[in-house]
Amino acid sequence: MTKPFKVFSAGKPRAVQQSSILEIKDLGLHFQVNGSVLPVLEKIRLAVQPGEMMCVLGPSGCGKTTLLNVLAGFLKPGTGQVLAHGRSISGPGPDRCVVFQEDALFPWLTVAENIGFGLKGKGLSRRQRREMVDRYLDMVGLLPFGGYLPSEISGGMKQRVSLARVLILEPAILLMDEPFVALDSQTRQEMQQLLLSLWKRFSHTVVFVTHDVREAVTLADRVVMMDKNPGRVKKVVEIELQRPRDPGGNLFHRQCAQLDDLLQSR
Amino acid sequence: MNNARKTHIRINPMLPWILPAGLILAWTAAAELRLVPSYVLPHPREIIHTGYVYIFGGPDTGMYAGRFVADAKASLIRVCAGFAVAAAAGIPLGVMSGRLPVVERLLSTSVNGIRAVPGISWLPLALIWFGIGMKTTVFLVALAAFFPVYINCASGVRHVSPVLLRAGAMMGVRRVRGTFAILLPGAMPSLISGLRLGLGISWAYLVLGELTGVQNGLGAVIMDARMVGRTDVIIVGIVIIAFIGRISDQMLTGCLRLCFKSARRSA
Ligand SMILES: Nc1ncnc2c1ncn2[C@@H]1O[C@H](COP(=O)(O)OP(=O)(O)O)[C@@H](O)[C@H]1O
Ligand SMILES: [Mg+2]
Repeated sequence: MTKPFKVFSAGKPRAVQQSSILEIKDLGLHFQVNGSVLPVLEKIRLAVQPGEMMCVLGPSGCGKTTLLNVLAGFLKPGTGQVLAHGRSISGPGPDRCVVFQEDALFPWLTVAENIGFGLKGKGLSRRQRREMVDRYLDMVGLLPFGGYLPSEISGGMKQRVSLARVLILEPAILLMDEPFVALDSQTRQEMQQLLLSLWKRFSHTVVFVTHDVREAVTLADRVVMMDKNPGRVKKVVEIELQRPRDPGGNLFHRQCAQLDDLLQSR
Repeated sequence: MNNARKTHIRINPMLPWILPAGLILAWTAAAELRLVPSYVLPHPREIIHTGYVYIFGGPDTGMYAGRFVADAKASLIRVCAGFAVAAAAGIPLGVMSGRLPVVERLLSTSVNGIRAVPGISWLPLALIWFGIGMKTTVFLVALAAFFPVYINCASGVRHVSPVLLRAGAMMGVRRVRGTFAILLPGAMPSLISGLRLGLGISWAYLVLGELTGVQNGLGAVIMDARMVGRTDVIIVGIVIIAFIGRISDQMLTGCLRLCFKSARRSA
């Protein structure tokens, strides 16, 4: 398990421009729908720096999930190129882990077994695996729930499990597709804080998709705003707010208002 | 899998026994009142006696006394062999055809064509190919049980959520492990239905296969008894097959639950 990009610390100003961990070069992609061509992504050009928390913000249907699927390696780029660690992405792999929008836990495995799933076949002993699983259970605050089945826990807890089962693989890149939309606002805020604390600790690179402006301002170093039909990058905004951010603060509100305006403008 | 948790409504535990009890009562009444001649429907008392003698043997060592163990053993071996062949072919082919459109295309027309042929029409051909006995019965059982296993397995695999497969792929799961760790557990509820249906049909075709004049077996006993007009033995045979069929179904589900987490936790 090599983690070539572990050296950069999260959230710190990037004094030196590092080489990008993810590079999207003129990405275009279309779907065939009933024989006609539906362009979904057009000329996407982005670079993500190691350790960066980047939010992709855009209206529903603008291609955010599609973009994430390309980064994950589930979809091939139609045109252009997508590089991870400087190499072209050839398929899904544990260096780029996804937290899905919908419930994607294995329903026949307990919480602990779900978290340990990716460790199988890595040459770890049963005890080593158990210890790691316990550590990550604890990290996401689910230590007492290891023996529960996914059907027996709440939506927020499920997303904690989803997070833990990928963090345990120590991915350099975390891809998150509106992971908290289905949660109530209280739980969503807790999850955002959890994500931020884990990010601070592991300093992995995060690409976080959302359509919620406040969520983007809470989390992001940079916000990529997308437009739809076809999906393209409208603007990239740096969020300069100090961490930890105060969602009640004036600056926070102003930042949200600015992004709202940008979203609305044509 | 929220639907796995069924709402528990309080049901009188006697409920399943009302129908059989009523039936036996009506039967006894009909026999006592001599509404039907005993060679059409013997008295339940007689059935119980015949059954006892058939299973445990008796002082009046008739031709059916004590044959049960040998017959049941012969039949069980035939059912198990046929069912095993059906499962061994049906599960892998089902998985492949549920997952790979090429295989699905390749197989679906032929499978559905063959499936449309009633199993009984294979009997003459099977007799020519395999002669009377073990092989014919196993062939018929295997052929009949294959379809429910194959079809349910394919449909179960086809309906495994793609997001689970993606989740596996991103965690570095390759094809072989994906099949055993994601596809099969994900398809387990369908797989169980398929196997149970297949086993049920196995018993039906066992009797068909044994009707052709084999020496022993539960189906053979029934056919034999018809020749000599022993209605009581026919009924004993039917009841025993019903019992063994039910027990084997429970053993199958029990085994699957014992061996697979996904079977324990999803149905
Ligand atoms: N597999 C697919 N086949 C055809 N069209 C698709 C497919 N996936 C997504 N789309 C279309 O692509 C567009 C973008 O979808 P998506 O990436 O899911 O948007 P978002 O995640 O931003 O809501 C939508 O119009 C959607 O209907
Ligand atoms: Mg989406």
